[in-house]
Amino acid sequence: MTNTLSDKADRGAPMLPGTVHRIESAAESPTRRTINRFLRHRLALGAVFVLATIALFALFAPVVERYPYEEIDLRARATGPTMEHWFGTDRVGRDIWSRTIHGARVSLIVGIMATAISTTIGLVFGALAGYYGGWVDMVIMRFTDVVMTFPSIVIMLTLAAMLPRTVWTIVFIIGLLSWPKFARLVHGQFLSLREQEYVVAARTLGIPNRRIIFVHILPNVFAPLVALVTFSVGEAILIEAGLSFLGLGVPPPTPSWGNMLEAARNLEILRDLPWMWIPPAIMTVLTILCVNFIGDGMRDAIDPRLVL
Amino acid sequence: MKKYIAPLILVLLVVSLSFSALEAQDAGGGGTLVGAFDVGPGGAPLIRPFMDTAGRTWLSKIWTPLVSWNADATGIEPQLATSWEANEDASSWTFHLREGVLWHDGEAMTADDVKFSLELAFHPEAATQYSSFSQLSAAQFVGGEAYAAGEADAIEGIVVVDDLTVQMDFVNPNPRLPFSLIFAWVLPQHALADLAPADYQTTDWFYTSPIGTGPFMQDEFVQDQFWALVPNPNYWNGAPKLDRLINRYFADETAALLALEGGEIQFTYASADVALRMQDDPNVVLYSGPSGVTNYFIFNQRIPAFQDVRVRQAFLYAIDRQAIAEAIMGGTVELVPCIAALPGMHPAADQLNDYAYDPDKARELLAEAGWDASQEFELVTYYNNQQSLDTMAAAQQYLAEVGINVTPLAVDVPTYNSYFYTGEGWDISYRGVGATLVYPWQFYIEGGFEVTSGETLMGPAFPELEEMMVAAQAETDPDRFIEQLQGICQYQNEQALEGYMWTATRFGVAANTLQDFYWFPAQGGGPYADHAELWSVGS
Amino acid sequence: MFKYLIRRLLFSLPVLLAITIIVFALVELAPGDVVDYFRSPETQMTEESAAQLRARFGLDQPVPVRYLNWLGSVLQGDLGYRFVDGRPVAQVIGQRLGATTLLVGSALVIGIVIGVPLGVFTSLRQYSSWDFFLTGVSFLGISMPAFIAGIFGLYVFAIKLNLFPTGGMRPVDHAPSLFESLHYLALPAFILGLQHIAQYMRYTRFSMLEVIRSDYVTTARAKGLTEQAITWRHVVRNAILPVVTVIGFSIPGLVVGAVFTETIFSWPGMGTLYLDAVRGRDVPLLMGMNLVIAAAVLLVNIATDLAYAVVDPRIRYD
Repeated sequence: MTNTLSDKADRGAPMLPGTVHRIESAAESPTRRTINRFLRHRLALGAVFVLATIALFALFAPVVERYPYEEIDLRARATGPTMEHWFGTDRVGRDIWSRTIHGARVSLIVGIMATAISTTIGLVFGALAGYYGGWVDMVIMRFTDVVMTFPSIVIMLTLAAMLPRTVWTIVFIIGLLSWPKFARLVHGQFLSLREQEYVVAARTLGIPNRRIIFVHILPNVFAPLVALVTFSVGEAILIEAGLSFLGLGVPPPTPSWGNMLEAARNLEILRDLPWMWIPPAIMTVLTILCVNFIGDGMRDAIDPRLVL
Repeated sequence: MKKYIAPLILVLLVVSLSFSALEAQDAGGGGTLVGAFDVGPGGAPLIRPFMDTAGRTWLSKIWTPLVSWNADATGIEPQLATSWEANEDASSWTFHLREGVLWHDGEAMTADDVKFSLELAFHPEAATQYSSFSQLSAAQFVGGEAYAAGEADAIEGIVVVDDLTVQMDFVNPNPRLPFSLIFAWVLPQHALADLAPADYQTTDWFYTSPIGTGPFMQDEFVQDQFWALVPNPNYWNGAPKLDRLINRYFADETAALLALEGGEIQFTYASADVALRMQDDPNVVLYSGPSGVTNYFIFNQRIPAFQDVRVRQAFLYAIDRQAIAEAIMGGTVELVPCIAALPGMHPAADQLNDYAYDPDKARELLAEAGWDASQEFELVTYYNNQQSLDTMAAAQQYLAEVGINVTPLAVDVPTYNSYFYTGEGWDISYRGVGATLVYPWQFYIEGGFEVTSGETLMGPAFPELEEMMVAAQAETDPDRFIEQLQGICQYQNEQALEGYMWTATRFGVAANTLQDFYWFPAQGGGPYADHAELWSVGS
Repeated sequence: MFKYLIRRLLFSLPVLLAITIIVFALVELAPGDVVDYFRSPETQMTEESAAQLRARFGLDQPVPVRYLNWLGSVLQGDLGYRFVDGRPVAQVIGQRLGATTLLVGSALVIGIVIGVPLGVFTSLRQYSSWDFFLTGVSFLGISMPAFIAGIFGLYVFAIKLNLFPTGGMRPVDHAPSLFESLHYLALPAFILGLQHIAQYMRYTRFSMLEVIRSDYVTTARAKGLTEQAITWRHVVRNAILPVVTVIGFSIPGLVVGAVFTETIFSWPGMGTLYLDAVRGRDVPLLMGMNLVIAAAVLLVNIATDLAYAVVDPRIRYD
C-alpha cells in the first residue's frame, strides 16, 4: 500500500507546509523495503547463509572433495570417519564426504527446480481460474483434477524407460506432476480474496485485471503459498529418494541424498553403519529447515501489515 | 478280593488315562512356530501348486510331491513315491506309491490322484507353469500331444496300474525323470474333480479349504496377514509336534527381521550381509547353504563386439572377482568357471581357466580385438539388493580401467524381461540362473531340446554347444552324464560365453528357542526334506 | 450452490473417462507385461507357455479393444479379476481400502487434532522458544524419509521399549479385541501422523499470522473483545481456509495409502497394493485402483471447494 502523500512527493508536486509524511517511504521503493525487512529477519538471513554454503560446496564439489565420488576402494570399504575419509566410506569404499557434496547437486537441483516449475505452473493456472471464475475456472480446475489423479509411479516407470536418465528428466517429471496442489491452493485463495472490498473497489475503479491479480491479490496469497513451497522442496527431495528405491532415480554411480538414504533400508546399514546415511539425512533436514525459514522471512518481508 | 476291585479299577483307569495322555503328547505340545517363510528369493506368498516358481517351502507343509530333494538338495528323497524304476532306455518309468497315506479329510491317497494331478498340471486350459520349471511337458508323454491340443481327455502315457502303482510312458527316453517330479504335487481328485481347469488359476480353494497329504492342515487363513496350520494327525511320518505352524507375510525383509528381533516370529530369510552381522548373536541360529543359483554377466551377442571371444575373456580378466567376493559378499560366495551350480559339474581345475585378475592381459586382448573404448554399454539387472548393486558398481570401475564403459541400471522384473526376451534394450546383463540336473538349456537352444540354428536368447546359435547339450540330455548313464556336463562346463569356460561370477550362499535366521528346526536355501524353496513334523518350540 | 454442485458432478464423469483412457495408455506404454512378471529370471518359461498365458489374459488383442472390454465390464459393475492371482479386483480393493482408511484416517486425525492447535499456539507466540522448539521437532518429522522414520520408530518403540507390536494388524493366535486392534494401529498411525502434524502446524501458523494483523482484528481489539474471543471467533475462522485446502490434499491419501509405512509395519493397504500392481503389470487391478483413486480425488476436491463456501461466506461460485 503506498502512501498517497509520498506519491505526490515523488512526482515533484509541491508539498504543503505542515503535512506529515513518512521519510522512509519517500526514500524507498516497495522492493527496497521488502528486501530490507527480509534482511532484518535474522533466522531467514541465517538460513540463506547456510543454504548458500551448502550450494557453494555443491558447486565446487570437485574442488572440495578429497577422492572422486565414484572411486571404489575395496580395501577401505565400510570404514567409519577417519582423517583419510572424513565421513567414512560406503560398502565399496567410496568416500562419503565426496558423495554427500556431489549428492547435494542432484538433490538441490531436484528440490528447488522441480518446485520452481510446479509453483509457476500452479500459480498461473490457479490465479486465472480463481480470478475469472465461470468456464475458465471449470476447464482449468478440471484439467488440474485430471493431472492430480495421475498415477505417478506408472508415469515415472514409463518415462524412465523412454527418456534419458538424467537429473533434469527427474526434475521435469516431478515438477509436471506436482503442480496441481499449488493450483488448488492459489485457486482457493483467489476465490476468497477477490470478494474483498479493496478488490471490488479496484475493479470498480477500472484498474486492469492483470494489475489487480499481480499487485493486489497475489501478495496476499503469499503466506500459505510459501508454506506449500517449502514443503514441496522437501517432498521433491524425498520423492527422488523413493524413485531410487524403485530403480528410477539418477543412475549409479551418481550420488544423491535420496539414493544414499535409500541404503538405510538395509537393517545392517541403518543400525551398524550409521555414517553412511546420517550425513545425507542431516543435509536433507538442514536444507528443508533453511528453505522453511527463508520462506518465513519472505512472508514476513512481503506482508505489508507487519511492523518489524 | 472284592475290596481290591475298586482300587484296581482306579489304577487301571489312571494307567490307561496316562497312556492316552502320552499319546496325545506325540501330536502337539510343541508350541506355536511363526515364521516368515515367504520372505526372500525362495518365497512367493500365496502361490498355488504348479504355479510355484518359488514358495515351495510352505506348499510342502500342506501338499506332498512324488519325490523331493533331500535335506541339502544333493539328491532325491522319496515322498509319496517310495521307489521307482525305469526300463532299459528310460522311456518307461514305474513308480510305487506309499501305502496308507491319507488326505487331510481322511480319504486314502491312490494312484488315481497322481494321474489326476499331472493331467491337471498339463491341462491346456489350466495354463500352469509346471512345464517350465520341471522341464517336463505333456508332449513328452505318449498321447500327451493330443492332450495338450485339447483332442484327448487324458494322457495315455500316464497309466494307473493299481492303487499304488503308476507307470509313465514317454515318446523319447527321459533318463532324469525323477528330478522333474520334485515339483509334482499330488492333489486330491475327490476334492478337485469338479473344478473346471479354466478356473485353476482363480479358485481360492488352495487357501481357504486346502486338502493335502502334508504334515500340516488348514487352520486359519487371513488374507495378506498370515496363514495358520495345525498338525495333521494322520501324517505318514508321524504327527507333528507343533501345536500350530504359522506363515506371516511381510512386504519387506527388514520388517521381518525387526519382527524376529521383537520376538514375534522365530524364523526369516536374511540377506547375506545382515545374516553375517547376526552370526555372533547368541539368540539366533544361522542356517545356510549354497543357493544353487549362478550369478553371471550375460552378453547380448547380437552386438558384434561381444561375438569376439577375446573381448569376453578380457571382461573376465578385467574384474577382480576374488576381491569383490571377499569385500562385498563377505566371502559367502564360491567363484565358478561356468554355469554349473551343482557339485561335480566342474571338471578338474587344470582343465579350466580361472581368469585370475589381470587387467594388463585384458587390455592386451582388447587391443588385439580392435576394441573401441568410446563405446558405452548398459548393464541391466533386476536385482535391487545392496550387495548386487555394489557388485555392479565395483564391476563398472574395474571395467572402466581397461576401457570397457558400462552404466549399471537396476530395473524391475517385467521391464527386465521385456528387454531380455526380445533382445532389445540390453547390452550386458547381470543375472542369476538356477541350475538343477535338469539343465537350463533354453538360453542356448531355441524352442526345446532339438538342435536349431538361428537366433537364441543370447543372439546367435552355438551349434557345438547345442550338440553337447542334446547328447547330455539323452544320456542315460549317470556317470557319463556328469562327464558330459563337465565337458559343457569346460566349453563355456574356455569360450567365456558369459562372465561367470559365483554361486552365493543364502542364509536363514532362526530364534534359538527352536528345536529340531531345519531350513535350507533350496531354489524356489525346494521342496526338500525338512522334516517339519519334528519341529518344536522350546521355552 | 446446488446448481454448481450438480454441474461439478456432471463434469466429473467425462473427466473420469479421460483419466481412465490416459491411465490405460500409460500402463500399456510401460515396458513389460504380467507374463514378463511371471517369468522368474532364475527359472525359465518356454515361449509356448508365455504365448498361452498372454492369450489367457487377453494380451494378444489390440489395445483399444482391451480398453473397451474393460470399460464395458466396469459399466456393468464388474471391475474384473487380477492377472496375478485371479482374485476379483473389487474384493481386493475393498479389503485393502478398509485397512488403509483406518491407518491414514487415524494419522490424519492425529495430525489435525495435534497439529492445528499447535499451529494456533505457535502463531500466538511467534519467535518464542516454544515456537522454535516445536518447529524444529516437527521438521524432523517431515524431512526424514518415511521408511527411515518407520524403521526407527519400530526399532525404538516396538523392539527396544517393547511398547507396541512389531508390525502387523492383529495377533496370530486369537481374534483381537478393540483395544488390541488399537494397540496395533497406534504406532504406524502415529509415525505417519508426524508428517501431518508438521504440515498442519505450519499452515495454521502461517495463516494465523496473516489474519492476526488484519483490520477487522484490530477493530475487534479496539471494540474491547477479549484476546480469546478474538482468537477463536475471528482469527481462526478466517485462517482456516488454506488449512482446509491442505487437509483436502491429504484426504486422497485415505485411498492412495502410504506405501513405505505400510511396508515397514506390515499393514497391507492400498499403497503396497498399488506397488504390487505396478510390479506385476496387473492391468485390471491398476485400472480398478486408478478408477477408485480418481473418483475419490474428484469427490474430495468437490467437497473441499464446497467447504470453502461454508467457511468463507463471501465466496461465490457462479
